[in-house]
Amino acid sequence: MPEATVSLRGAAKSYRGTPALTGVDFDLQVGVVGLLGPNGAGKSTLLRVLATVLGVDDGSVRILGRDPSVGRERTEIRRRLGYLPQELGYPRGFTAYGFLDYLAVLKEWDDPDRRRAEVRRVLEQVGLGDQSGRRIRALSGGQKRRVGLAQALLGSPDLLILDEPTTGLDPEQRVSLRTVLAEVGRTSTVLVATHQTEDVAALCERVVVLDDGAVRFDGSVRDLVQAAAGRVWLSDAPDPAARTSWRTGSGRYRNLGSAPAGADIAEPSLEDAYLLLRGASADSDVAA
Amino acid sequence: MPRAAVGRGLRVLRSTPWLPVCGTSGLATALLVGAALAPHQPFVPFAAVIAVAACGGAAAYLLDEDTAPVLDATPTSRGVRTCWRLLPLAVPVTASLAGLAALDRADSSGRWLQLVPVALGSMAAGTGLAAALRRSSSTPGDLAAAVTLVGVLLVVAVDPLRRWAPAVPLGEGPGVGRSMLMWTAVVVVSGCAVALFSRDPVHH
Amino acid sequence: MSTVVLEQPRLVPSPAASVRQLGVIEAKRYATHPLFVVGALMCAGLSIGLPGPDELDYAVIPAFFLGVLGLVVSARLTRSTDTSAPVLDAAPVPITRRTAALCLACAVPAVTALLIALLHRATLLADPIADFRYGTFGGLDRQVLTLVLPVVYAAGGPLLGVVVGRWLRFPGAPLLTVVALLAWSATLAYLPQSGSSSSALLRLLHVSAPYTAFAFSDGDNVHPITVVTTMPGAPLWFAVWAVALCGLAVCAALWRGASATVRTSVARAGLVLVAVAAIALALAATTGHDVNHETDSSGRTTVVRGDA
Repeated sequence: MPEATVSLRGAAKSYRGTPALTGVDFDLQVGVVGLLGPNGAGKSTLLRVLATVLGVDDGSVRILGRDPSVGRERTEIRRRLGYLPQELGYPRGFTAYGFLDYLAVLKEWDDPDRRRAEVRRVLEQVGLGDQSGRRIRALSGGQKRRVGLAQALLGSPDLLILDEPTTGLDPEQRVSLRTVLAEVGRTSTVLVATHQTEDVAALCERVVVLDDGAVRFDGSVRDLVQAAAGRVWLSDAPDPAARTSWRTGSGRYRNLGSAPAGADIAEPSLEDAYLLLRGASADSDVAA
Repeated sequence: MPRAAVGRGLRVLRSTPWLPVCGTSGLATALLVGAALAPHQPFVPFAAVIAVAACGGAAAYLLDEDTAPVLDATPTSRGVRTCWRLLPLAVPVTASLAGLAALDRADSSGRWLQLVPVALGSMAAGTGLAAALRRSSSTPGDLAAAVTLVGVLLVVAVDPLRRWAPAVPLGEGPGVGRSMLMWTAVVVVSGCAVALFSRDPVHH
Repeated sequence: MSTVVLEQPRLVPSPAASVRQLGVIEAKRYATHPLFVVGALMCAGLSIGLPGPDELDYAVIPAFFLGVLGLVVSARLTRSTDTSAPVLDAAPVPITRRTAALCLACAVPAVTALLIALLHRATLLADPIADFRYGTFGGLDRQVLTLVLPVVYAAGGPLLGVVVGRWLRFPGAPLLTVVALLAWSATLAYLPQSGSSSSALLRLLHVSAPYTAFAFSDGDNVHPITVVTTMPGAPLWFAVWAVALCGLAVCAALWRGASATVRTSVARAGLVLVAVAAIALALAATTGHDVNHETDSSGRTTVVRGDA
């Protein structure tokens, strides 16, 4: 069995006594994996650990066969890594091309011709080929996000870590991004942290759900959705038996929980399954 | 003034960048007090001018607001916030007045209090420049302070209008009065700039 | 489906190559910064024969417009990339190389100062000043004062700006540093102008400022210069002291975020520079004249008595 691209065993991290990650175990192989979780679950902390900009307090982390706690190996990991954080600011005065050129130098693309070609390639890949000469501050929010994505794609990294990559993108751009990531995921490992369950459903075969710093689910999207089968139903009014319900655009109410007999059962979505999993987690926390 | 308005104003004041304002003003006072301790040393004129220019730089930070794009969309208008933010001008004003008074007391023949219009002018210029730069940046303090400091020192060094009004109104003669008038004009023009550029951004 | 993770062969470039590449990018950013452009234009304008200070004080023009303004430019450029820190920190090129590139970019104001000083020299060739305006300084000292020190000041301010940008992260840090620098220099630069210029402590303080003056005159914008007073100190050793300070600034900047290996090298270099600085400072204070000398328009030089 080939070595996993990423391997975490018992990874733990705390900030001033507050645990952010508690004993996280999982492996990542080539492909696109979605990372879901509520705010404060530890997603960004986990991504920063995998991006080698944060160390763990406990446990072991191996990325691309190397130990990120060792300086030389960490540098080697970074040569094959692409990272897009949730919030990325840009220095003043840079154009889209200029910023990517700068990042490319930092990623050790020293040959000017090859670097130029690579920068143009990633700009085209994210649909900003004709905006390369514009100053970043003059770009829209979605365009800025795509500049961020482009820098992560520089050098066709073996491990691509994306935190909320679709923020600010319109539906067409999101579909375009899914195409790009699907293509990248054929030969690289892509980990996408997002609140957009439809992106995970459309793009990922596997999903990891993080909550309170621990992995609550790690498996295929199909299995997670299947776990919600029979537990989603529609009604004309909010069902008091439901764990949660909301009014949909059709005027009917979508309910999650233990469906009463005779309920109008609906096909569960990934969002439904995620909410049910979260609800179960909350119950088990309360019981504990 | 209603209590709620005062409360909002105090919140606005809390977000003033006190470190550069008080730090630079404190440095300026220290410079003037040091000059007062050795009032006849050759460095004293330089120290006095640098201190006065530094107070102008300190004033340039008063209008820095990191979250201005969000605040501009609140009922507390930019004009109201600017008025509250100008209150801490008292810090560099007090620093310069106290320092110049100490220097003048140590060496009354130098008439150092005649530098007060220069101090007020440089602080007004710093604030006016910061207000103008706010159109393109929420935190123009760094740039405005540097330009104000260098600009005041440059005007004093080059003294472009010396035939009519010397840049530094020290000593006696008709030029002294004109110099004070010149710096007063700087205060007025800068005040107008602050008022103009503190209008609601929808007018820009 | 089986997957194989292939190790991609890579040619790892040398650190010098990435520093060079980054240095070019940072140099372009520096050269196009509005504060630098304005400063350079003003420096050039005041260097081509417009009314200015004494010739021996010429260095104050590049020191002010390229050095002082350059401190602010460098600090802003250094801090401007902080917003991209999450991504930059995840790149293989470490922060020390980025800092080295920022330091390399300080060659822009230094070269500009040299070109402007040469331009100034050219205007003097066209319209020479009287020899007495150089006081007792001749030969190498004159070159140091009018060509070397302008370059050192123009590089030193921006290098200090890199240090400020790396270490002092609070608002107003550049301004506070500029004011402190100006106050320090202004207090000590003309110290021998009155009082006992033969005092060893006074001579040492005089040359210990990051900028100092070596002469003053009786002229101003209205009255012509008739007497030039040369102050104590050796310009050549002062220049060495100033260059050592520039080196120490580079060490301080590189220290931030450096690995243990890099810090060891930086510390060794820093110790050598401290030794060089101490020796240069001592020589600057003890060689050259130890009292003020006046040179009048006829070229006659007299020791200023009463200073002993």
